Amino acid sequence: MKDVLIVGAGVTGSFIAKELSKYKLDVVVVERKSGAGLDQTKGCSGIIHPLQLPFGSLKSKLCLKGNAMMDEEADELGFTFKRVGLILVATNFITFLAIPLIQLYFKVNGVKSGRLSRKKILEMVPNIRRDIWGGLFLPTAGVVNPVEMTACAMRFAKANGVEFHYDCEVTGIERKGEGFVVKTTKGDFEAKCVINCAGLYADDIAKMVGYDMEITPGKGTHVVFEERGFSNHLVVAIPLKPNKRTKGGGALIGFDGKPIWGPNLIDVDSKEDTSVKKREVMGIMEKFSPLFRRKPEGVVAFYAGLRSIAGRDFVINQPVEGFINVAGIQSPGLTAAPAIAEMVIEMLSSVLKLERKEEIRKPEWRRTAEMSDEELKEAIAENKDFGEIICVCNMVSKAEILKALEEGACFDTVRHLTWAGMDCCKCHADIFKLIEEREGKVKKEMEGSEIIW
Amino acid sequence: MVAIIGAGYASLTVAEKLLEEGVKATVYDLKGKGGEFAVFARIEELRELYEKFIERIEESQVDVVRGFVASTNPLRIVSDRGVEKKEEKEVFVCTGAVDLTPAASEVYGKRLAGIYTLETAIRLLADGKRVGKRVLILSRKDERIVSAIENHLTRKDYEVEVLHSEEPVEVYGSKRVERVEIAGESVPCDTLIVYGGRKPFNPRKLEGMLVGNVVECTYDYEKVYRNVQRIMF
Repeated sequence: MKDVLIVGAGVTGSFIAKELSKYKLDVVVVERKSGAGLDQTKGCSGIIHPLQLPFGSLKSKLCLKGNAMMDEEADELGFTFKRVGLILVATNFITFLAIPLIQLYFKVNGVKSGRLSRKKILEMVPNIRRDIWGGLFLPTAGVVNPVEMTACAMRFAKANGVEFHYDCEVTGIERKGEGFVVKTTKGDFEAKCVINCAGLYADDIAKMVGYDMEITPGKGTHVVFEERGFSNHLVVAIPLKPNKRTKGGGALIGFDGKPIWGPNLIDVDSKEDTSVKKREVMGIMEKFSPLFRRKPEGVVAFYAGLRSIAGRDFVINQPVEGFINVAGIQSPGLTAAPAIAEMVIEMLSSVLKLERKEEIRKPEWRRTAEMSDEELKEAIAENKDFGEIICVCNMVSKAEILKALEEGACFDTVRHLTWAGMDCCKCHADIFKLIEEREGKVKKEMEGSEIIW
Repeated sequence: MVAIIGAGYASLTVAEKLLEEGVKATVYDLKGKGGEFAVFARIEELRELYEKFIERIEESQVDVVRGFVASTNPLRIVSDRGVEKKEEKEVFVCTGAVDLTPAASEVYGKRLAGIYTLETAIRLLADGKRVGKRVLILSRKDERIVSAIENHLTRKDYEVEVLHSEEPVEVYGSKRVERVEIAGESVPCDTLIVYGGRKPFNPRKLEGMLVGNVVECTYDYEKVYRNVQRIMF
């Protein structure tokens, strides 16, 4: 019998697995997709939030705590994290007058910010429109690649003994003695504790142990542009009258500096509806274009993600002893993930004996693009695959692609973990062929999403 | 002290022209000689369409150094030999073009398996891979390569439909493409091949004289031919 079974390898499940891997426990993760972070996590904006309103809510507390933990997490797990900072812009006189109040409100609640003059903002973001009034800078805001961050947590967990099963969907949970039997498409697992990190389907999993809740999907659409350096900071206009429809979203940037505009919030019926409509893209363009003197060049991609909404706050509870819900993790779930993991460990400590391992292994991961000439020469001498560049745009080698396959045998994992093929399609066919050689087939993200037949 | 980046049609022509004038240039390419013609040559219908260019390349005596050029000034070359650095007086950038992404070609809907740019589809087909069964080719630009690929797919027993349209499309399906909607009409298919045009492929922002398809951005190599003629002759 396992000590802990985690349902779902999204960012929360993976960070909990990562944290649990530091203890003398037998942990298993099951995930319906072919890699970590390929569902709700993949569709998010990749922003490490500086704060979350309303202050005092669980999600707000976990956001602030998680934000403060992020540098150490990035260092320990090896994912790219940049504190690029967020500029809150007053685009009119009324919001300009509100700035001192907003700053005070943030300060009282423990959030650092600095006043920015109009001139300073124009210097920081030359493409911004000229007639802004001023703003606030939130230096703790940052950017990550959400799938990379998640897969790195899984890699760490794996290196420290966590067992994981992809393409493995939970079909039922039964009580057995003090523990549970979790039925999946890949057989039954017995575990003392079950942690429900099933994202959009967390309600279905909770119902299996008799806990009633409902998760509704809230779609957020994004537009990704090609022009790196259009802005080097996240830019958000202070809304005149904040409401559900106007809050959130901004002229964001990705982990790689490409502009990302969005997200919006659209109610959808299906938990699989990640479709992007033309009118949504137009809406995003209309909403954020007025902030700038021109639009960024070149659209690369559109994508939509689904937030799992269970009321206003996160739902983290233990309705049955040994069964923990980590549900309704909408924004800022990515930021909160390390803090959520700590909270869950605390909750588990009343059920399981927690003893730290003496030795914790840090898996090695090297990016060809980030190596010095000397390092790269050495790497190539050791393994010629480092000298075979597959993705020209982001200088990704064959060695990295083959290594990434260990974390999820599908194209989406390889793409996000290595950044190969994220700017154009030039190397996609080569990546498909490498995956096919190694795995015998090429999936995009899960069983049934075959790319080559 | 002259470097040419890329080893496709433009590059090899430039190298030969320089040699005629007594200048020896070094040609670098990630994959060796041929550029995209090395791919086209493996599909009968494209071989026929580009016969003149493919023969030119196959007859070319120019040597190509395999390697990835990470930057110019200085030239930094990464290959399985290691990392080399070279000072070059003159650089010709002949890195070609790349297809616009589906999003840039106004393809909306879900990001599903089964959506390919024309370029990716060609690269897979050249290796004898199958991209699906029932293919919709959506072409935003009328170039002869589209009908050549249509003929190839038909010969390989695919069900093929070609749409020349500038209307936005929306893709539907659960895990792979199941249908595509365009101008209020629904087209059932499991594969969507999109050709929305091309853009320069020079992501490393290599500096030098730009020659060939990196300027023209097309599959119409007569235009590329004229570009090379204009610059070099």
